[in-house]
Amino acid sequence: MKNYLHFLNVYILSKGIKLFLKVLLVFLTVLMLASMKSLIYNQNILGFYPFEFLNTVKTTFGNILSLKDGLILIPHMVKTISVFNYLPKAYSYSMTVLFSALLLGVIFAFTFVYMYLWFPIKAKRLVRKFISILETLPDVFIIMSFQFGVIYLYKKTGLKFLQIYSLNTEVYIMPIICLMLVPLFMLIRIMITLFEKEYEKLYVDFARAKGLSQLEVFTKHVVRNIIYSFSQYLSLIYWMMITSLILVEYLFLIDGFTLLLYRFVSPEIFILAVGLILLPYGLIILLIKLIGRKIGVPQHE
Amino acid sequence: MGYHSMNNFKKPLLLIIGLLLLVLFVSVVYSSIFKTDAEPERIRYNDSGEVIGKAPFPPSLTQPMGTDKVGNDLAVRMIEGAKYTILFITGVSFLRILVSLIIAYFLVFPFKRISEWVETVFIPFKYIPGLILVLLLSPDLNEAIVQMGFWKIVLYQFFLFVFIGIPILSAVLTKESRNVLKNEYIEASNQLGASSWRIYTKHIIPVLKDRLIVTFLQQLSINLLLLIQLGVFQYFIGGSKPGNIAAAEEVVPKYLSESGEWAGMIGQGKDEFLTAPWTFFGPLLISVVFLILIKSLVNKVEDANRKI
Repeated sequence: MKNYLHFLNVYILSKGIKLFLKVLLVFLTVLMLASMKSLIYNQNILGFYPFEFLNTVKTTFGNILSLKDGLILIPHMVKTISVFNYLPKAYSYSMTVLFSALLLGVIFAFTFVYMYLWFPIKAKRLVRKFISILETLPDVFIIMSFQFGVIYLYKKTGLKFLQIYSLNTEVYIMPIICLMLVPLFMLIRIMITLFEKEYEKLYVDFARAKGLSQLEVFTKHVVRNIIYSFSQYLSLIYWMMITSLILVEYLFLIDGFTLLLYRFVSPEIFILAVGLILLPYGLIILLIKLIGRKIGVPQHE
Repeated sequence: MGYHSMNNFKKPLLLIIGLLLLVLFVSVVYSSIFKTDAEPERIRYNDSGEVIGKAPFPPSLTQPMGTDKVGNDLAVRMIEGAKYTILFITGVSFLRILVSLIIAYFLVFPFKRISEWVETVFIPFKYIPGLILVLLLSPDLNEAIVQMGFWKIVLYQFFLFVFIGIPILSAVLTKESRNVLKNEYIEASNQLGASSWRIYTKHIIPVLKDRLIVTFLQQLSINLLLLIQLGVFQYFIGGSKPGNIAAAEEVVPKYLSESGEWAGMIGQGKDEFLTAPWTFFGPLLISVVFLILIKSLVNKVEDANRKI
């Protein structure tokens, strides 16, 4: 027993060291990527500049360690702005938009799929085909068509109920709706597949035979089982939405946090921004684990 | 599984290759034979010499997609630009898959021991959007084009596109190859003394063939989507040329895609999407049709595989 415990300790220790080394390696890769332009370009001339590259890596690393306040260029202002002044407000704004859109998208998709379950089979097939086509629409197309549609309506009716651009004020409604529309069709497709798989299982028939109503089976059993399978897809959807968030903020002229990724003056800001998109991702992974534990689904890969 | 499914995916595959070649052919023939160097018409006059309109002109019978802000016929520009788009995305997709297959071989066989660490290096490529990676690793196009010229820039962009997609694709292919390796017949051929390269090319790749075709089609649409996103960011393949009309008093410099590549056409129309929606939505709709076509082919191939 004692021996076994000893091995267990070594095992945990080696796992811990491995994890630490892996995190370090990922960090180093991002550091290299952030500085890579100085390896191949010097004043826009293509070449190989190892010394400039090493210098950039060194200063970037030093700047991260000393938490130096960097500068970013804001698109519609000519001057540069300090990151630490800019970031807190921009980050909370971007994350509010992102997660409201995600939540709204899930709610809409869920409502739609709930109705879909009552459709006749022929209509179901048609809906699936239609969703699969809608899913291929590029995010640029969805965002711009929506924007165009709203402005067109405004011109026709004169109702300015939605403010589009956000040069000065923080605007939430339009970006959230646009960002929600982008993953909506994929969400619907995933949910349809999950629900149909679940309804094929025996316990649904059993519960129905026991005299539970359709609604009861749905809310008490099916949904519970689906939440876990669905949470597995959350990280994929998150990454998809990050790209769309970059586009939405760019197209709506929003001073969000994603412009740190391409408007930085020195590379450490890029690394900071990558860290900031990874942070909510870590929280999502944690949430999935918690959901799994709460529902009691065995945690497998 | 391999042989039976062949006929099922052959048809859609031939269809897409045929279509790509046709568009390529029309595009190349058009620009080498019919192209004229005539200045596009920017201002239209009526018979008595009065100005009746200024470019961009909306779609009409003679110009089905309208014109851009300097008077170029958009349909003509799309045909000319098609060859760049198609060569670029097929070339990138093909080279990405080829290189990833080779990397997957090394990670599955000779460098098995360090593969875990190599795959760790791949992680950031999975989590940083492709759009950002391209912007991060590109020089300032407007300045670089002066130094490097058109073709050198295009070549650089081509290899950059190939590069940023390789880590994810290699990781996926490595995983799939390992799954195939679990089969018993491979164990048998291993004991008969087959080399690892032989096992990889004779046993693993044939099993993955269906998957690779789907991957190729998916790569085509991924790359087109990435081009469109970059186009919106005013990042064009082959850089851009000034698009300001000399007479107009525009403060902000505007650019036209140098190559007329589809995504570049979308990007150059972005700022006029309200005043001249056809310059933006026209090229975008054509790209969307192309994407839907690819998607339906993917569905067909996957359905055919599922039935077997």
